Order: sequence, then C-alpha cells, then structure tokens
Amino acid sequence: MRALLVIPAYNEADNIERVVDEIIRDYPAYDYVIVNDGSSDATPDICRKNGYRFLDLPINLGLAGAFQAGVKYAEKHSYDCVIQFDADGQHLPEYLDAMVAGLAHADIVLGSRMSKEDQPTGMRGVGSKLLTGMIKLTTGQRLSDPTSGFRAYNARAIHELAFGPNLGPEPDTISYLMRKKGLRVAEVPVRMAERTAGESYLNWKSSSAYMARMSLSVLLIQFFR
Amino acid sequence: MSLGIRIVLLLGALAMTVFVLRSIKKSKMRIEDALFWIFLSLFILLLSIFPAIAVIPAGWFGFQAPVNFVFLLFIAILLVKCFTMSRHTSQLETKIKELTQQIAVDRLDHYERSKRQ
Repeated sequence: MRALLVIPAYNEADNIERVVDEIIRDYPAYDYVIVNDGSSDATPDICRKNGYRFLDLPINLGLAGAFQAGVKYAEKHSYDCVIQFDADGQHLPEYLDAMVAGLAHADIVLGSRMSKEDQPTGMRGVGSKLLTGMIKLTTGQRLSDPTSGFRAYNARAIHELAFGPNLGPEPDTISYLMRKKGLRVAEVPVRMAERTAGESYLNWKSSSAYMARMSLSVLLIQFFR
Repeated sequence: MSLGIRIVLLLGALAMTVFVLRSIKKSKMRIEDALFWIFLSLFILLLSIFPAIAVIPAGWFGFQAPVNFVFLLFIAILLVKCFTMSRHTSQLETKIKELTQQIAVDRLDHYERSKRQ
C-alpha cells in the first residue's frame, strides 16, 4: 500500500519543520507532500532549504483547494491512500498505521477523538454534536467526531475528491460521498495534541459561517447534487 | 407615464449606450458580455419612446401606475442578471483553483524529474 500524507500549510513556519522531520525520521514508510497554500511567511523557504517535497500554490486557495492539490498529485502518481495531516502538529503520526489498517474495510477512515477528555468543548463541542446529528439523520451512520481533520482516503475516495468544485475535506463532503457515492466510512479512535505554536484560524465569525455552510450543505443542498 | 419619467428614461438609455460602447472600444469588456447591456439600453430607449410597452401590461396585471410595473420589471431583470453573474464568478473561481493546482503539481513533477537526471 503506497500511502501519501497530504500536509496543507498556510503560514506554518513555526511548526512545519518539527512536524515533517518527525515523519521523515520515524515514519519513512509514508510518503508525504506539503501543500504551501500561498503562505506569506517563511514556509516555502523552509521547505526548499530542507529539501522537502512540496506543492507550491502561487496563490492562496484555502484549505479545500490546498488539500485537493495534494489529492490531484496522489491521483496522478497512483497512490493507494491519502492521509490528510495537519501542519501544526495537532495530528499524531503514531496513529497512521491504525488509520491505514482501517482502510481494509472502508473507503474513508476518520481519526476520531472518542474519549471524553479529548472531545472538543464549549461552542466547538456543540457544533460537532449538531453535525453528528445531521449526518446521522441524512446517512443513518453515527460519526462521533465529524470535524476531525485527520482522515485517510483510499484510491476510490481519492478519485472522487480529485476533481470538482464542492469537495473540500469537510463533514459535508464525507456525508455526500456516503449518501450519493456509497463510500463506506469507518472511525479509528485517536488522540490529538494541542497546538504548540501559531494561531488557529477559527474565530466566532468564521465558526458561525462554517456551521451555517455545513448545516445547509448536509441538510439541503446534498439532495440536489 | 409622465413626460418627466420618459425623458429620464431616454437620457438614461442614451448615456448607458455610450458608456457600454466606450467600454468595448477601450477593450475593457468582451462583446459577449456587453450584448446584455446594449439590449437593455435599447429596451429602455423603446420604453421611453413608446410607453404603451409598459402601460398595456400594467393594465393587464392591475398595477395602480404603469411606473410601478416598470420598477418591478427592472428589479426582476437585475435579479436574474445578478444570479447569472454570481454563477459565473463561481465558475471563474473554480477555473482559477484548477489552474493553480495544476501549476503546482506540474512544477513539482518538473522539479523532481530534473533532480533525477
């Protein structure tokens, strides 16, 4: 199984070296490709200096477009598996083997924070539970941590994700692929690290917009796609 | 319709036609995209010369004044135009995204090939 870690990076100069060096050193079985999403900081310079393999997007596309660039690369080079991996160190590579093993009987594997102390709290927790409910309603399957960005996709899912405008790596895409394309989704319990540097892109405004978009997409738009 | 409204429509249509044609001349606009505006200004011109175009349908639908019908008609035309433009922007964004991704993938492939040689 040839697996490719796709690591979208937007202004991750403080994290990228630590995250990628650990993969190169401790997990050499996994190929990786960083996607520099038009960063304005030293991210591309660090990649070049260290000889990392990276896709250099000339303009900022946002997470969906950046991840899809990595998926296109994987599709072109016939990888069997793509793993969506954060550049900020939130995702722990010790779970990679379990995620890939999960693909034996699923097309998409979600790395889910299942134990109580790992689950998102506060407004994020509420949003996450709402999405779980909506996805259960429309697909019949319960996904305990739909907003987890730690996901593995097999060749069939890669093929579905590589082209098209509305296929960002988000919960609504997962539920669309389950409902309309019949892809099987499984969950693997993982833990996640706290961010050690840099700032999360989430704030009140963007979280509300995110929830509005996801709800509308999962509950309504999906049925017309 | 009052004479005042007809004069305003006439002047507006003339100004619009001049503006659109000048934009084409200065290569700021493709002819395909300008057609809509040329037809629209032509229509406004006709409306100011022959108000019956608005007065008669306004009577059919029971508008109190023909000018209300004119307002509604233009709001409807602009809503449709606004929607098609929004759809067009979406398509452009998608094309830019695809191009950006393609450029990045091709550059990496090119770099890796040149490194191997």
